Amino acid sequence: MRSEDPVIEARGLAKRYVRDRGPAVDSMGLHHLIGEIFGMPLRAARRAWSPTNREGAGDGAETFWALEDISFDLRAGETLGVIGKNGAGKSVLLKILARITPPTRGTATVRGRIGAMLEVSAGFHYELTGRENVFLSGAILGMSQREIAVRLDRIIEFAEIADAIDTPVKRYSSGMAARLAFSVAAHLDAEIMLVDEVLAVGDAGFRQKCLDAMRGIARSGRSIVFVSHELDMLERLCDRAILIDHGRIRADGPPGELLDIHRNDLRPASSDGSSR
Amino acid sequence: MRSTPTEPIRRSTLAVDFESEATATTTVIRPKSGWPDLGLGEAWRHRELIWVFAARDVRIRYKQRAVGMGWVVLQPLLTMAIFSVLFGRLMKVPTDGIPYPLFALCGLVCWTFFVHTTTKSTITLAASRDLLTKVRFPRLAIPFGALVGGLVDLVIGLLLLVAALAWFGTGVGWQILAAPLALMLLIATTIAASLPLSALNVRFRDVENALPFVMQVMLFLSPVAYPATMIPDAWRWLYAANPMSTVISSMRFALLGDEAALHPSWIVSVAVAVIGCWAGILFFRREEENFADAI
Repeated sequence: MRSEDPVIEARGLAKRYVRDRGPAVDSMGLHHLIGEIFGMPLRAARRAWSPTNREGAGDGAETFWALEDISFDLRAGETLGVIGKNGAGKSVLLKILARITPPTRGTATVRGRIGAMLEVSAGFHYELTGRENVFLSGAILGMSQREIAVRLDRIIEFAEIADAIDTPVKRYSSGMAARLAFSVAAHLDAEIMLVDEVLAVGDAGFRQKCLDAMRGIARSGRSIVFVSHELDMLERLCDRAILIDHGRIRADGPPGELLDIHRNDLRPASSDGSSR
Repeated sequence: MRSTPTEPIRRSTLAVDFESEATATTTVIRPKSGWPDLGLGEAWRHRELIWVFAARDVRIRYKQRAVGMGWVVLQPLLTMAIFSVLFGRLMKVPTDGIPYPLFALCGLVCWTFFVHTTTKSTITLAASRDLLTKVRFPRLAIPFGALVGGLVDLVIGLLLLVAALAWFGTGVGWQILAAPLALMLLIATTIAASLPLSALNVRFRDVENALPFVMQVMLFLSPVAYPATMIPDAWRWLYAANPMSTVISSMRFALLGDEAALHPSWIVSVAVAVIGCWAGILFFRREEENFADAI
């Protein structure tokens, strides 16, 4: 691997979904409702078995492209911010890069291991203790039990919950659980980190700590792809940004400039009001 | 990467030691096409995750439960008692000369493992929405985790069976050598049922609604409460299409010396289980790419 090779080369990534048109049940008469219910298995089967994300398939169904054409290079050590309105395709892009869902078209060459922090508490189980959850969540995120054991003290220390580590997570405040979950994921040992809106946990002090942690990851030579609606945080963390609009890259450059464009887009006159 | 010896690495606040060169791997993400491989290599590399899922399920089962472990023992014992009174005493079901409680417990231990593991796997996968949509990990780890968790119960059930054998003063002979084969068939049958049902349940939650009913029917089609010898010989070949029939019959042969239970139609059961196992894993692998979108 040459050091000048980009760690991610995305080429024409696209993702199509079939729009689920659920019947508006409450606005229909009873006889329609009965027809809907008995016709449901047939329609569901037809819809479900038409492969939605294969090229040329799903004809006839109402489809939409969540991503249309995304190409970019991410160099080693770069921190890339992804901005755009709700529904622009930011999260879908991260899911494709994390290999949670396959693209409909296009390719992405990834050099190095990817660590995804999309929903850090996804692996948590509330009946288990904090310690048990560290091992469970760490394993799901891709760490070996040995790696976790080695990092356990640092994970607990970072989350600031040493006293409660052997208490079931259901007794935690939501802030405590979020801090622990973030701490596990932040100790992932991957060359490329995908981060989706997970820094918004805990109080102001802990958020600053998360931000510092992310900076530390960036400084250690790792690359980060960062999605957030918290534009100030994004500006402070990233050295480059891409602006996604309707599944395409509209601008690529220094975060300051792009954020100006984006903030302009979000002004009430031009916005649908759904974005923060 | 960027950190060269001339450029000192600043320790991150997380203090994770990071060696990029040692772990450089290249992955190409592209649209999926055609049939996938079985993915057993990947599952094996992540065997620790399978174990972690199994441990999670076992742990959760004993949290905030008064009887805890006791349920694993109580359930087959109580069912055995009910079956013994109903089928043994009242209906006088023949058992090839074996005490009815032993005869029933042997079938129940195998049957309970099959039903519980299949149900657990089916429900757990579709309930793992957050994991499937937000985390990348080998999806096979969920049904295999349910399987390994179920094996814990199976071992407890088998110990119970051994205790019952001692209670009735029934010794085991050379036939016990067939037990590992019967257990392998049991595991293959369970995989053949649980993987496709789990994958299908992600798309159609009807599967978990229909499952208790289907399992009820399967219970009648398996020699749990009655011996397979009650089935007319001409029908045994069709009867063996349900591999659980051979699993239970051969366990009775292995542990209780029930030679009458054996029938050449076992070959049908083995064929169904092996092909079902292979096809089930392939189907699961083909479906798993859509889990995140379909759930």
